[in-house]
Amino acid sequence: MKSPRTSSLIRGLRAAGSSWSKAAFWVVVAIFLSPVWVIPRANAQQQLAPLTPAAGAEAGRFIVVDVMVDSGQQPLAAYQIEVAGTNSNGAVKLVGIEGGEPAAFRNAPYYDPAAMQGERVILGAFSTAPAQQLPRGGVRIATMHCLVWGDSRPVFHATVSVAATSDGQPISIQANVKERNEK
Amino acid sequence: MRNDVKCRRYGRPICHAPGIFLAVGLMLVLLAGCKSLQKTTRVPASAPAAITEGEAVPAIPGALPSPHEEIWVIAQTRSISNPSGAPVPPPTSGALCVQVEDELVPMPLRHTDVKSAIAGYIASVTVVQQFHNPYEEKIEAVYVFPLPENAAVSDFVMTIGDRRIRGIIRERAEAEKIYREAKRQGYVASLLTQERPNIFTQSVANIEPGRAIDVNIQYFHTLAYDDGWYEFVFPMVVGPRFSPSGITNGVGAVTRTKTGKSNQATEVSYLGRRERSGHDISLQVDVSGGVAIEELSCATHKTILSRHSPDRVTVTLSSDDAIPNKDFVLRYRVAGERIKSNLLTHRDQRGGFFTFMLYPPSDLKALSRQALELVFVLDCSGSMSGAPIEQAKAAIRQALGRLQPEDSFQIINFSEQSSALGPRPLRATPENIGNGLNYLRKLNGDGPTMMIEGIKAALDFPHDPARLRFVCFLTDGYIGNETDILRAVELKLGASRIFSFGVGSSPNRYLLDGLARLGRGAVAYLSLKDNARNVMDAFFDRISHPALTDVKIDWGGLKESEVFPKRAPDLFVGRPVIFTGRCEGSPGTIRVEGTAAGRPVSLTVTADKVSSSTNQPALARVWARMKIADLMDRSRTEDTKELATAIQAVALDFNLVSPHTAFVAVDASRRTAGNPAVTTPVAVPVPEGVNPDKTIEP
Repeated sequence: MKSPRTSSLIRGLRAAGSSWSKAAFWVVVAIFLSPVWVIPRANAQQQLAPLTPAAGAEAGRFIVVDVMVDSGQQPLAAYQIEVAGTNSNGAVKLVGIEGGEPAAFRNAPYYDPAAMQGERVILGAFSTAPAQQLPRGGVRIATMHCLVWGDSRPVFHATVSVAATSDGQPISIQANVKERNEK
Repeated sequence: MRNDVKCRRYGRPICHAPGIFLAVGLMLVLLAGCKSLQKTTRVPASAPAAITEGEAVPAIPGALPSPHEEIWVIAQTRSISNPSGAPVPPPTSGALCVQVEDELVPMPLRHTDVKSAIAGYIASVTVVQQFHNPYEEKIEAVYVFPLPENAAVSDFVMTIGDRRIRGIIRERAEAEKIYREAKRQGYVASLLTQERPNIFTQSVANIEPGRAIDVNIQYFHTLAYDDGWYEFVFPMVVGPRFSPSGITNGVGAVTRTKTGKSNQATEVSYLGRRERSGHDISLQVDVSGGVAIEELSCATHKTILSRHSPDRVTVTLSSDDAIPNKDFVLRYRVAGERIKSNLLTHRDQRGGFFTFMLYPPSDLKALSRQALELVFVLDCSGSMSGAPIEQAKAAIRQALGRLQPEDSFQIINFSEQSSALGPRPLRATPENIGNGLNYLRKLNGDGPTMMIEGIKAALDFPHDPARLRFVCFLTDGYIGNETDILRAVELKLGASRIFSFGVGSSPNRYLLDGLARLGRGAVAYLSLKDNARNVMDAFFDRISHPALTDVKIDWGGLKESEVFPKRAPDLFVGRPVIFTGRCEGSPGTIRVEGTAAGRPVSLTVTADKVSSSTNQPALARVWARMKIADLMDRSRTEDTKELATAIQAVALDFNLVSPHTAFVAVDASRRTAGNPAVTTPVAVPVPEGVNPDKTIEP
């Protein structure tokens, strides 16, 4: 099954007319067409709590959460990551998604609106830049801006659904999510 | 109708790539000192030769024309810029910001950039609104602006420097709450809400002095098609609406020094007569016709045309016509497409989607018309005074001249109250037509727009059952209580058909399209630069042949569901109807049945005769927008709570702005310092041709 965002990605790849070989292109297409792109809500292990704060709760506070990935020596061209969070004594809500540090991923990643209603977020982005311009090693690939209610510190978990190099090879990457320090 | 004029073409194809840089450079240098050079293209005689050709305009910004492209020479540009670079007094000082000598008023909206790509009859449009803070204090900019009434707004990105933050679609109340909280705590945030299907509010909180923030909006919509012409419209300003007393959810219109005084949920503030803001607009439309584009016409603006190939052109708004005070209307006609139905499909994980453009059978033209009863309803409110009412009167004069002896007519006018030429339909005798012309001559624009009076007068008017009745509304539609009007039409329509004529430079297209849709008629627009005779002649051509009524469609193997419009409208000569639905099967044979002049008519559209294409991702959102519009129509007469929930669910699923959903984006990385932001509405120019003294609360 194919998500609309996946279609956007594929269209973008096609339109870019990159130097990728056809085979590599279709490998990436296949990755984004994979069933993992659409994850049933019921399977979401962790869900963000509802927005409405508990009665008598104080005003919310805004936090910044960085999504970090490490692709080792491999050039990262495409990724899809699911992020879920919990707040034991309150609520947390996504209020913006920002692009990452590397120029290839500076544009804000797309998110799956259907998944958002399940109070988690599936982020996805790709770049058609040449391999030498793609990030390797540990980088901030995206940033989530959140509104949090309650005293406790929310806990976030990232799950990599898929990642690929510029030649379309699926790769294993590490992902973690951490709250940025006080502004 | 549409006659063509020939203009001259300047320049020549540039054939050698290395020479492109030199040639273009030389041309630009030469042109820098040139005066306007009017040029070619085939445009209707009714319009000024608005598509000027000239200065090399690359298809893609920053790109040079390729060797096969033509270079067109056009008008010299005149920059419109805000000379005040230095910070100006805080917005709290109101009128003190005016620089009378050059009539410049600093505003937090500096520029709007519009880029559209049209493929087939679907337009994808990106709008970038460039906000800045020219004041000495932190501000919240609030901008009420129009978009096409069928725009499916599906993407929203806030840019701060080189950082881009994608907005999140949320239930409206939730998004507003998040925005308010961010604003209160000093974070930069933006919020996009829908006030009407064609009116939106963009709020940007905590813009620090000297800082700039861009907001990028993307939407899709289908184009209108009429008598062989596709029409792309980009509205640029919301006209001053009148809301009857007692209404608080209308759209107020105030001068910029009286913000908050209208007591309406939405309020537009306008610049004064001699004031200008630095806000200007750039616009580019890239048209891929699929087949050769035969003619283009832009009667509303000066434009620059760049033809890349027979089927692809780029139209760019001339920089000396960059004040956003009227709708941009581009019409084009492609070869060989005039009698073909067209099917577009798309499939994703949510299932299949399609749009089907159904053309009326061509043999309708062979059938003669019935006797007509025409009721002209002329808006004589203040907003119509001057050029708009003169345009409308010219159109009615033309129509009276087209009546046949067996027809009848009536003229009703309304502003605060309604009155009519007579108490019943009049036979179209020379004497009665002469009386009608005299009556028309005395009508002027003044007073409020009590459109409900016009609706009542027209639809309650005695009807002659021997004749086919058409009610023609000629109005700019500047009202804030559209729901009341549309509800009244639904209740009172009876045997009438409504044809609405949108008059002026920026009519309320949501209302006018709604009147025609609910009234089982059609809409036409009469800008100040259109030829009123041509517009009315086109109307007569349409009603001079019977429509295909009681239309039923057998979709064959398409396995369709949730098709909109739910009730197939009548098909008039030259006016196709677009259906949008979901589907699980494949296109095969589509059968259309109906009645014309009392006789059954059937039409079969087979797959090989349908221009069909697949993989049109915009279709899913176009369908969702149609579904939302249908739910909104129902909410006028049904339980609104349940329907509101349904609208919200569709909008969240498809990432769309709606009356019950909104985009919000917050930059939580930095809290701005200083006092709370001062709310600063973006004052906009009064639409071209509209008299501010008769429309805006002083």
